[in-house]
Amino acid sequence: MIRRALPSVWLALMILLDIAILPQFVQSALLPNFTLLSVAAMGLIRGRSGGVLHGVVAGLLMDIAVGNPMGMNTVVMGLTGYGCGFISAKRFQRWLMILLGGVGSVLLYQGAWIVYIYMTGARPASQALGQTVWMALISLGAEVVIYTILYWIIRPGGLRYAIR
Amino acid sequence: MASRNTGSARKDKRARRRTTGTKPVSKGGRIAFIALVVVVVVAVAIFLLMRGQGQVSVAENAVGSLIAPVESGINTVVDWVRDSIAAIRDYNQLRYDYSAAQEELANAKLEIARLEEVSQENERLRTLLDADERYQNLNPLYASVIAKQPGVWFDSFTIDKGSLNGVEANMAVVTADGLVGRIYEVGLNYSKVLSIIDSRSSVACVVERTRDNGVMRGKIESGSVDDACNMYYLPANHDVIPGDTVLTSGVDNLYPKGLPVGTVREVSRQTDSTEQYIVISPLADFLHLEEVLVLRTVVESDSEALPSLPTATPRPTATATATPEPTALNSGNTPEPTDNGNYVLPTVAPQDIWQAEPGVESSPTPTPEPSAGASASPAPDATEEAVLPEDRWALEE
Repeated sequence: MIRRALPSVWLALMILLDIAILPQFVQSALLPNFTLLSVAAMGLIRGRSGGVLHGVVAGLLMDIAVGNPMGMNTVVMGLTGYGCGFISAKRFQRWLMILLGGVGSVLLYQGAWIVYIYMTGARPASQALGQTVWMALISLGAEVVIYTILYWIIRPGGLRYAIR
Repeated sequence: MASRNTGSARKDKRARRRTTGTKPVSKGGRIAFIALVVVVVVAVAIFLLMRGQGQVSVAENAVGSLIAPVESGINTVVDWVRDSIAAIRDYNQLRYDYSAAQEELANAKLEIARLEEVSQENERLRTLLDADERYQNLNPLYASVIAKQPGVWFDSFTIDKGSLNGVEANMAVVTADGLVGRIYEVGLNYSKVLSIIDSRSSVACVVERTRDNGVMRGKIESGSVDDACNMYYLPANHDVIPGDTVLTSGVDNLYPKGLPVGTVREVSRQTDSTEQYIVISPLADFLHLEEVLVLRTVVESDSEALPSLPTATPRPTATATATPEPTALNSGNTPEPTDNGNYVLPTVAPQDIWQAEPGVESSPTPTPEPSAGASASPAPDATEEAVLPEDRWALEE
């Protein structure tokens, strides 16, 4: 029971960390999105269904708290969870899964923001692409840590459902 | 075939469950899940695309109204966490700022105290500077008090100037208020001063208004609560009243003439004139002496060193029994008041008096010679009955 609730508690803590705690200490565009990385790790561990479920819920909470535009985080994190679940189904080596999941999630998130900015009529700055690359590299290291922690918390051997 | 296929399929499912630990999902559940995801994605896309400039779409308005309470609850939790973290973060900063502010406050208080001290010193030195200009002809020297005898009164103290600065014994020491005392011991870079309030000190004084001479003695001892001095040897018929100012007379050859000493506080009414005295309050503050002026002009006590001074006109040798009329002697001797309240005798040449009487021989009157450097006007017979006008003896500088 506790083990089932731990991922949800973890996600809630990551949401609070991203919204209420980290902005008071660090003001940087290269700060990793720990909620996004947790959803990616969840998808890698629990598969597509678990990834999508946690992604949509986490994204929805993020949108309700600070979402502008509403729905952006829901879609992106849902897709991230599903994509990472898809990657884990391919049975790659663990390091490759983490690499693809971490970098892919950041690229998807940043890409969605760039598309949205274009849709609103503005033009993103040229350094946005370089910023994306740096953020992907930094997030990769954070993804390794989060994946390790969640793996030892969740222990996928006890899970009973997955979409294959 | 079918049973073999079914059995093998079951085996595959069991094997898959053992390896993956997952439960196979039905096709309907999979379709429902995919449909749900598609609906969500489409809804979000619609919200994004239908977003107008300052205008909310119907769908967005509906959804927004539904999730507003949830949003309020989530924001409450987020704000609580944010405020708690901010309080923890700011606590250390506040404590550091408080310590810095406390230190700055302490330094500011010390600086204020120092500046107040400097301001008071500035005020004292300003008044001393005025006194310095007043005593300019007596070659004043600024000195600080560096030590004193135990007790509250400055009856004997030490200053930071000595023989290297031209200080000698018996030089007068004054403040802006009045006479303080005289130097009685001189070192290279220090000197000791005996105050006029000390019981060992005596000053020849004159009451400014009545011109009555006397000797003022200090009476400070351990435990004294008052710095008043007593002035003795006044004339029996003096009319000194409280409030009169007392100056140095210069007849003791210690202090230059005209230095303010004090004011009369009380006048005794002893029947015996030899026991009469007046109580004088010194003008200088003998409780708070910090800076003084040393008047580097010594009144010579050795008479041989004094320049020749005009002597009193010798009495004529009377050859006739007739004596001058008292009125003629006394003519012109009535004290006349002046504008400043003092009483002075009119100027009368002695030959005018004596030549009026027949049969009286008079000796030639020697012309008074100006004497340089002497600031006192010695009057050895000042207390005699026939006193010549003071201003005749005033020496030209």
